[in-house]
Amino acid sequence: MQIRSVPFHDVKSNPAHPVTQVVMLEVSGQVVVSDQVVQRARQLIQQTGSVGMLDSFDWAIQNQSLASAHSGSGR
Amino acid sequence: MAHPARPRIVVTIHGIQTSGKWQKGITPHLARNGLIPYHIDYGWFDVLRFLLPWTREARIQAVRDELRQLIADTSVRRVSIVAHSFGTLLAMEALRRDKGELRYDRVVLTGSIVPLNFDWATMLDRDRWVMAVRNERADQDIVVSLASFASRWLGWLLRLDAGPSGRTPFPHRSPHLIDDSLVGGHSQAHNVAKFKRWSRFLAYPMLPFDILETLQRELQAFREEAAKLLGASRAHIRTNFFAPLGGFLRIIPGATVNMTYAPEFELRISPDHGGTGTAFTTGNPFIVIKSGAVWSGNTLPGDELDKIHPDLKWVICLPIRSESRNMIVGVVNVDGLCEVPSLLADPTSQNCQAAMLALWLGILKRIAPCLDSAFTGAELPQLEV
Repeated sequence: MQIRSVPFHDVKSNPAHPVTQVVMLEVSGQVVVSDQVVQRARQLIQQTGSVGMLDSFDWAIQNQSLASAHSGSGR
Repeated sequence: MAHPARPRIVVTIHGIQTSGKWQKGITPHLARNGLIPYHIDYGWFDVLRFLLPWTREARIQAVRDELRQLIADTSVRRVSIVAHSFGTLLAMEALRRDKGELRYDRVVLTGSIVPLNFDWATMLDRDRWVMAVRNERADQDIVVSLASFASRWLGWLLRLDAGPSGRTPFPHRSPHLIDDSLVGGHSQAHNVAKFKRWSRFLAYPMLPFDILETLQRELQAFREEAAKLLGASRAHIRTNFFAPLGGFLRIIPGATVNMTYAPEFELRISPDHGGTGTAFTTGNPFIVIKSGAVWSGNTLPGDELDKIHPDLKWVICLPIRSESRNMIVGVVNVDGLCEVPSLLADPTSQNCQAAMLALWLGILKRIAPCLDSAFTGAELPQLEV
């Protein structure tokens, strides 16, 4: 499993004129519960005390629902 | 449909040996979902005229002309269809012959005599001349069997290409093709329960009240959760839901929380533009942070940027994937009219990755089922006591 940030903005732009930062979170491969980012994410949810959020998170991990899927085309 | 404000028209087409009483029956259900009915009434059409190639051909051409004229008169890009029996053949033959000039949004076929080998792969999946189809079958439908029989054994004489799709499912498999069956005969599906379901299906991605209420509740809860998770003031956090509508991603009316800046409701985002569009096409979450005084770089075109709230500082775009259709069906955005929370300050940091992952996976299961129910026209499970 790999979780990485992929910047879409021009990182070499002039610091005096900062551009909007556009960053993609890319998740590839099988989800590993012991992954540091996954564990930290779960911890963040637990801090909110939201049962619904935690339930959705655990369901998504269990069902491997976070790998990229192709999009539906526009209507 | 080019714009949500433009009319969404549903054309109903009856079959043979009937005056189409069901067309009047479905009207209030269409209206309830904001749809405008247009009933094609070609009068009593008997079996003989159906079997004669020249009278049948004249009717197909007349319906095709009427549909084209309707689209020209109303300036819509697509119309939806509810057709029964011979009406299914009229509608789909008109579509096939027009080769993309005529386009349908969502289609309900009932008592269908469309051939089983109809080219859904091209018209539904590849070229999107139709966006979604719901085929309502009845297991004791003698009429479709007779039409299929006549086509099979006398087709050379009658020049009839019909099939038993009102009784047998289309062999083609597609996430845009819904198959449903019931116990009964040719007109058994013409009842209030079905009219209600079809109308909800035809209205998608506009959401029926009950589903919209559920979605709003989830987005409201999500706003609170996001504020807590990010350590930001809830007053400055907003949530919304974008879905494809008229060739663009747009905010689904009613699917917003804490948004009051009117121009934003008119946002039209191309599927490959900005965080929302790119999240939709790639299936990956995005974060967009305004670093300078203006939005720049890989964001939206200028006229769309002008619609954005002037205080907006950051946006997290979370693609919503339908498990049943195996595709991205929309994007939930959580954004802030405040300085970037410390967790997100460095968008490539592990903290930011964890926050984005938590928000994304924390909302997935709560939104997708609403959209899947709306897509098929089903109702959400009710709480029973």
